[in-house]
Amino acid sequence: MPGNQPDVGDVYQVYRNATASPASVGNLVRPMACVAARPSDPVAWGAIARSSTDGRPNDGDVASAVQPALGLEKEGHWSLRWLHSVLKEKTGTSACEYKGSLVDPERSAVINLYRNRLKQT
Amino acid sequence: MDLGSDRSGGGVGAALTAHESLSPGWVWSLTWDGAELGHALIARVFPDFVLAWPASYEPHEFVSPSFTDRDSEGTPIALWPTRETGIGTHLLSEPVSRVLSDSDIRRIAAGLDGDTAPDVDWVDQPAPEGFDEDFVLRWAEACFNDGRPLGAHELFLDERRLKAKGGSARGLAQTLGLDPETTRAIFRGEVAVSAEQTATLAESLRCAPDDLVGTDPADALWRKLADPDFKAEVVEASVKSGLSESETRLAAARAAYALAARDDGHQRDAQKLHDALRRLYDHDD
Repeated sequence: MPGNQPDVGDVYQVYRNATASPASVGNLVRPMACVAARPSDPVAWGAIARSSTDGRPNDGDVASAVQPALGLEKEGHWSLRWLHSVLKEKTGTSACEYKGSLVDPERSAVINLYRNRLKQT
Repeated sequence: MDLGSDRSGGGVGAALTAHESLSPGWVWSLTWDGAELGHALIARVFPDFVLAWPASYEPHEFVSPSFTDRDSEGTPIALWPTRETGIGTHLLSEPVSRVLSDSDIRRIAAGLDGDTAPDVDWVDQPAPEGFDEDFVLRWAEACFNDGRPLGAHELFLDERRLKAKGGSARGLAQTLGLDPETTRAIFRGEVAVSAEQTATLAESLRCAPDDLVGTDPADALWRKLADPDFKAEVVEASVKSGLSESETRLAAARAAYALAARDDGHQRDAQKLHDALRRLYDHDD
């Protein structure tokens, strides 16, 4: 949602300086989906990033089709490899722009990927 | 926290191989390119990355929203489960101690996912100004460390895709004016092609450049080299060769791939990686 408190399933385009130092990140901007809203945490929420080049379907990554309305211009995968925290103070600004929300079945698949992340297969 | 029968491990300084301790509940030290990045507790292990909770032995970092526990030596440690992150195994340096059981990790995470505070010793001390933001950025940086040199995302011809578009080694040589050795190396994916070469080839085959390229064929060996069992050797090769850690890993994976393509496939990948690392600095070999 607009504002700095995302809902689970919301998609943001996060510029690298909102999550990390510019020197360490290959892409200027990454799509990220909220998987842990953490409403009682004033600092950060949990996100998994979507990669169009580094999918790990054998590890359970969720395939994601092209969705220009969400800023997803290439096919890709939502991946636990890129699970990390995003600052709430940046959320909703130009550094972390709200793009919309995932819809089912992709939304449910991403949430399940996160909620089952610690279960050994 | 009572680990009960689930508790195991040898404690700080114990002689352990990486694989014995590459499991949930273990705290590892993280390093990259000679720099210490801190500690993290492994929450789950995947083939080339782990989900981890940031951890700290530094008393001044025992601040909210962490909780404290003790490692197997009784040393206090702070853990940040709400800052869980993916970490490439190439950052894992040394196992330090087992702190939590697998079941405790899942119980704590399940509570937090329901936004209820699990029954652990949460730290009341608020973080000093700026600490939270720096902490989040530092761990996001560790997450996005993919171990590759910046700008190293080179193009490699995909033999299968090239042939599907009517390409061949002979056509490759003629179109790009290559000698046989270079042609063979590019065709096998041992050597990268430039964007200009790819465009020229694509034009001759009447297709898009993206139709001809694929992932780095040495990527599987790069990922194998990310196994913490190789970390000490990689660091040694990096120091002795003068290459950065990312350059060391890429050079060794490429060299091992070239060897694998010439003889017995993947049967001796680990040995090829050991040999390739040593040859980065031992030029008499």
